[in-house]
Amino acid sequence: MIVVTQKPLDEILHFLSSNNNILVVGCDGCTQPPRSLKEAENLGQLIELGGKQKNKNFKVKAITLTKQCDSAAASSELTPQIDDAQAILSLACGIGIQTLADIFPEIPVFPSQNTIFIGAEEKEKGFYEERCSVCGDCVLAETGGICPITRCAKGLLNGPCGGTRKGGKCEIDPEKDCAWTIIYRRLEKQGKLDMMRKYHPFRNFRVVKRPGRVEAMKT
Amino acid sequence: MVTLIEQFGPKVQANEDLCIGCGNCVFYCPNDSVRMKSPGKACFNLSSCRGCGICVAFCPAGALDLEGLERETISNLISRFSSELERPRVLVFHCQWCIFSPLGLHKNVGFIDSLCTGRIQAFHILEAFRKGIDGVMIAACEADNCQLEKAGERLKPLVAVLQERLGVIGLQDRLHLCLAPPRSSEIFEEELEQFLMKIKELK
Repeated sequence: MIVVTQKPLDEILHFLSSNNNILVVGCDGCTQPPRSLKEAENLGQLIELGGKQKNKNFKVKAITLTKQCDSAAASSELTPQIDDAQAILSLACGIGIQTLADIFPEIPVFPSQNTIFIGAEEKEKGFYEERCSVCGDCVLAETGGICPITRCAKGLLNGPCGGTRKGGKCEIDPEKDCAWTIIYRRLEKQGKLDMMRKYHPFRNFRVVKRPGRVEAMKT
Repeated sequence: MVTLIEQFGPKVQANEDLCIGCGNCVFYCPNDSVRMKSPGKACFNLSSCRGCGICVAFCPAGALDLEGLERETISNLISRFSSELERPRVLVFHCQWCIFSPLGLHKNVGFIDSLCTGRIQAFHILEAFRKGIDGVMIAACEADNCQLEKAGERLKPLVAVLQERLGVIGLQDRLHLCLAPPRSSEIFEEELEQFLMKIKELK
């Protein structure tokens, strides 16, 4: 999932300051935490309250879309609801915001979230953690499903650095597990320790030129 | 064996059309009464639902409601309090186990109870402020005294995040979390009086 954090409210109110009719649009897609209809309503209420503090009467409507990043679906869902919106405040990730902005180029589309990483929620621990670095050359088949590029502080591809602390913790960040320790233990469980001996050449950082672009029919 | 409450008590009401399959309800339900079914919708086992409302509070899509304590019911009550209470108007959200003597008799204070504090959510707190309530207090037990671990643990972060956001617009002092040990109505009453005085000064 795409992990987002909500922008400070004063920053959001500043974006909206020159508009009155605000359409707050949530997304049912992949943000973590989910930013669907109720989240859009809560943000809408905060904006109304914030406006009142500055003697500004925002007219706020909150809705949600199935996926803001799917331009065909977003366009067909949103167009009938756009009414007299002077600005759109999106709760989606950066992709959703830009897609809406392309669909409605005359209407300013503002972000309410900062998109911070691709990751998963460790619900028991109460954290969202980055899990994928979008490197374009996935090595998870060799590492028992644990990504060393993301979870090893040094991004090593051929085993631990030798600085692993007691308890299997990382030399750089003692709060973190040494990724290669947990990879070793996972491969051991699967009876695949021979993978640890496999040499992986140094990472090719140009696998995906940024900004990335691939032909849809050929992926 | 199904208990009486499980047979006859209020239940979660799920609108499958609005469900986005995020899985929050599955994780947070204290009774394991929810699972994900294909294709990506929450599926409820109502016979074990005990009406705590935690899933309703955690649902980001507004797909869930609670029988008897519906969103509209609470919203209507907030509207009523905002027109009937004398200023400064204070609302207290609490679970049924908070025992207070001035229940329902205070001209400035409205009480909104629920079976469990799990029912309390940011939506109604913000709604209260929007409708002209001057102060909102949540009364609950400390997490380690609360029978429902997941309900007790969520209140501090919920209030902390809301206070941070309300702080930007100068409203953070109008939201207060009162954590009193069970069976100590004096602590609650004292905090309520202090909160009322603070709200009076803020006006």
